[in-house]
Amino acid sequence: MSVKEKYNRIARFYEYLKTGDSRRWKQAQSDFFKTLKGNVLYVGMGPGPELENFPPGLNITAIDLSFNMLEKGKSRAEAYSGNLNRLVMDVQNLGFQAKQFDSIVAVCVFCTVVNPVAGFKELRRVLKPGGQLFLFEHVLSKNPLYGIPLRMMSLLTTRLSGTHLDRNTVANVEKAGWKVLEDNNIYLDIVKAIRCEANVPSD
Amino acid sequence: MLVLMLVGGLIGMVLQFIITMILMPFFGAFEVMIPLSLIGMPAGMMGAMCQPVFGVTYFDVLIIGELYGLLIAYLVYRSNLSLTGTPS
Repeated sequence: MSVKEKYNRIARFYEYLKTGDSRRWKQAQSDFFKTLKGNVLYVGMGPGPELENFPPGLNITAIDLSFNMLEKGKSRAEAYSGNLNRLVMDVQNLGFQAKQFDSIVAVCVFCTVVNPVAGFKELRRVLKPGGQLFLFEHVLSKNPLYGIPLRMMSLLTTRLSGTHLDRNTVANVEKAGWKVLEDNNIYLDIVKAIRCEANVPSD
Repeated sequence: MLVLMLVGGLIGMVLQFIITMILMPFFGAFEVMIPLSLIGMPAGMMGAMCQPVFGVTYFDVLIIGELYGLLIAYLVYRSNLSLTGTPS
């Protein structure tokens, strides 16, 4: 079963499972996202629980691989005090022109993308020069006490939802040609707020 | 004893998974998953080993498991404090 099919299936109870995370990370996300500006690409919107942590007045293009997940976010998208368009799209193959967005946001997305480096390269392509990428992601801990359980749980979560708990997202983003400007721990060294800019403008 | 240890560890893991799914919506996925994964399997293994060998009662196993769980939760809390600078 593909990641798209898995998320179409779990869309019904996804938001319930994420309730705790949304509540716990609200303040950290509000602080992290306050410098978002202009045309924003919101990758992996899903039901959009983090929309309430975005500053008002942005021009947002929200994409998700799963139509069902985007549908769950309909009321939040309509309630947002700015422009928001939702599209079904894969981050590894974006249907946008180059250098179109001022900021790009992704929250817990690159644990699920099949080829994260390809996804990050696509994001670099569509970002305007001087723009920034805001990642709020969970990664594999460097502490083996936390890392080993994450690897074990990852065997299960990969099968259930395609979610990898053992990704090194900071290394992946650098491999794709991004420069990490900020790498803050939100919970242990697992949940992170990572701010990046393109190292070399994409061709 | 090895069999008991394996069975205890397995029961601990299953319980850990069930409790994680129940508590996740209230406290957050990783905030629940990390401490429980360090508590479930080891506590199950220790409990299953100690019970027949040292003749401890089920009540003793329960108390020791709870104390071990509290210790792990405290250590994870301290670890988070040092990594993030904020309480979990």
